[in-house]
Amino acid sequence: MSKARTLRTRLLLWISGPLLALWVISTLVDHDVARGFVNLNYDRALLDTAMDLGRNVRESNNQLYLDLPQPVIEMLISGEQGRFYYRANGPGGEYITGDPDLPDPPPEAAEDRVTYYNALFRKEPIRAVALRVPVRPGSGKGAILIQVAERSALRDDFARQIMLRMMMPQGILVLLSTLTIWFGLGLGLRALTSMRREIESRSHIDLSPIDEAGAPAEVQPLVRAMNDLLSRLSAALAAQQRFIADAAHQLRTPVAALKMQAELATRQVRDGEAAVTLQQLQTAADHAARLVGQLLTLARAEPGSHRSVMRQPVALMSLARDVSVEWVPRALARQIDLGFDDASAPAEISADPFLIHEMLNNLIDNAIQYTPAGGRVTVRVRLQEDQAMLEVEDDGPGIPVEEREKIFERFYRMPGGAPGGCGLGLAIVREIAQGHQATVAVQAGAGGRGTCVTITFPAPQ
Amino acid sequence: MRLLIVEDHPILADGLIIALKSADYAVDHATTGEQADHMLATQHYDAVILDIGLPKLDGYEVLRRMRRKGSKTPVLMLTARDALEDRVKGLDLGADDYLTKPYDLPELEARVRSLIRRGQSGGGANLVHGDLTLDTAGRRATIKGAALDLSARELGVLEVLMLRSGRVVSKEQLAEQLYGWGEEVGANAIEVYVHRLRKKLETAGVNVRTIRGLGYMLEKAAHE
Repeated sequence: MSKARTLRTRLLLWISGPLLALWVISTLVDHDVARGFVNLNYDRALLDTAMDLGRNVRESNNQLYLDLPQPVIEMLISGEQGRFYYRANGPGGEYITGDPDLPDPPPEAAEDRVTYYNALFRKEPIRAVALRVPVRPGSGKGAILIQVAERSALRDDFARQIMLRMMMPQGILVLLSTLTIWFGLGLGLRALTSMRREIESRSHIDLSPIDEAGAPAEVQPLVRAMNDLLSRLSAALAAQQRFIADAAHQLRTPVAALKMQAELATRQVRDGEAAVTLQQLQTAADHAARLVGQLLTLARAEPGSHRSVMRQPVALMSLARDVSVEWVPRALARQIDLGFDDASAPAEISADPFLIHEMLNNLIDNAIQYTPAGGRVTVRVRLQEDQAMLEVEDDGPGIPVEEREKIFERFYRMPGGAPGGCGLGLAIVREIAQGHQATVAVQAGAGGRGTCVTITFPAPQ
Repeated sequence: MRLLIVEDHPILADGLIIALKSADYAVDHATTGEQADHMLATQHYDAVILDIGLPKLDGYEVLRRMRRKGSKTPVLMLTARDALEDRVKGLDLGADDYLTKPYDLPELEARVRSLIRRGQSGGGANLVHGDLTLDTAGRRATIKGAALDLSARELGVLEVLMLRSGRVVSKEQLAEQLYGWGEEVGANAIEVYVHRLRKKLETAGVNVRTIRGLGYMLEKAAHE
């Protein structure tokens, strides 16, 4: 699995990359500037020395010579770091004094009074100044050429040091900018993180739009597109729900007619083959009637149903009692002792009363279906650490452990199960429980016999 | 006993008519709200079985018009729609009971019976349950014509049970009924009355069944 780069990393790379390049370029520029300043300063020192030397060239007997004592010369040609090279030549190019092998200035600058140039001297790069001083002003005797030079290495060192000193704070600046950007992006993207959390924490039935107002302007189109998708999805789901509900609804009246006629027929014909046939017809009609009712409930309990959010405070115990009362005649008809646990606790939950009613209907119906005649079914409401628990327990044959998860699947029927069931009852129970953030657990009943289904509702907030 | 069935589905209506006629009721049938409205204005009925989903003038409107005219005839609503909302709306309009389609025939018959009894309870009529008869005006009960020796409270309990025979009556409902006569009655006292009543009814072949944690129920006699 390839790990997707976060927006934060991406933005950071896009910003800090160019920043780093800028730093390198700026370093190069710095070096150039430093070099310029260093030259300006050191060239002046060279020129000063050249001028001092030039001023002290004398003429005697048509001979030119440098009229300075050796210690003074030494003082003049000592630079900050090491000795200068120098040479003085007469107007005709004749050597007067100094380092005779110093290279000549470039010929194209032969007319200038002062010329700076770079050259190689004794295999080392040097920086030199050439100064032309007239032998005697106005005499027309031409000019003496004074050259003073020093090794360039010294200047390079100095320029490098200046550059390094400028690089350091700039580098720190780049680093600090990167860190600031990283944290700033984190803060800026927090809106996205909180949006992600909101979406993650949603229940699967919640198709309500995501809050657009809290999103940054750049993300709003995305949120809007997502909300648009959500609304189309919920419309499609609602249409499907409506179809199932309408279909089930339309089926109710004809199924009621079928069921009633079948019941009447079984009453009228008590003997013979026809009686058996009619009995089966009635069973099938009952089955169809139950299925229609359950489909309708399922359509209501599912996401997209307009009903899925109709929460209100529900007194669970009295609701459970009322529903149990409704089932007593049918339980007695099957010779089952349906009762309500006197030790039940009053518990209030936030729920859709219609759906909780249907959930109980299906739990009790299921228990009655799967419990043989003479058995007991008990409904109970408990409170455990603020959590309301609804239980329906029977002393029937029980459900093997490996079947306990499957019984909640739609249209699943236990091998050898009762013929009346259509495998939707417990699917409905689970669907409704999930819609209320409640959990469903199946265990053996008291003393390891039968089945006990427990619905645990979340504690009130 | 004359009943009016208001149901537009012909086969379902036919089934209802056959079932209720065989239970010795006189049955009239209306297929539209207008027709029902007209029949209710010209004829007295002991109970009305009213389908909500009628074309044009629906069951709610028929019920609303009945109650507006001051009719107290008990009404059993039949609905194919969402049970809870329909129930609330119907009961608010003055229906006495409701059933959701598809329903069990015995259930329907029991509801109709208890509906008619309820309609009579204030009128001092006789309540009959198998061999047992309760004269609500004379405040006495008989088994096959022989008087039963019951205290006033036992009679009160019996009346509530008979009015709702075939259905569960909670201790609270019984207590409320007796409290209505100006007496404070605890759950334990109810148990005592029911116990005594049960003994006295033994010979009548009528059983007061205890429904665990829910209350009591007067069981339908074996052959009714």
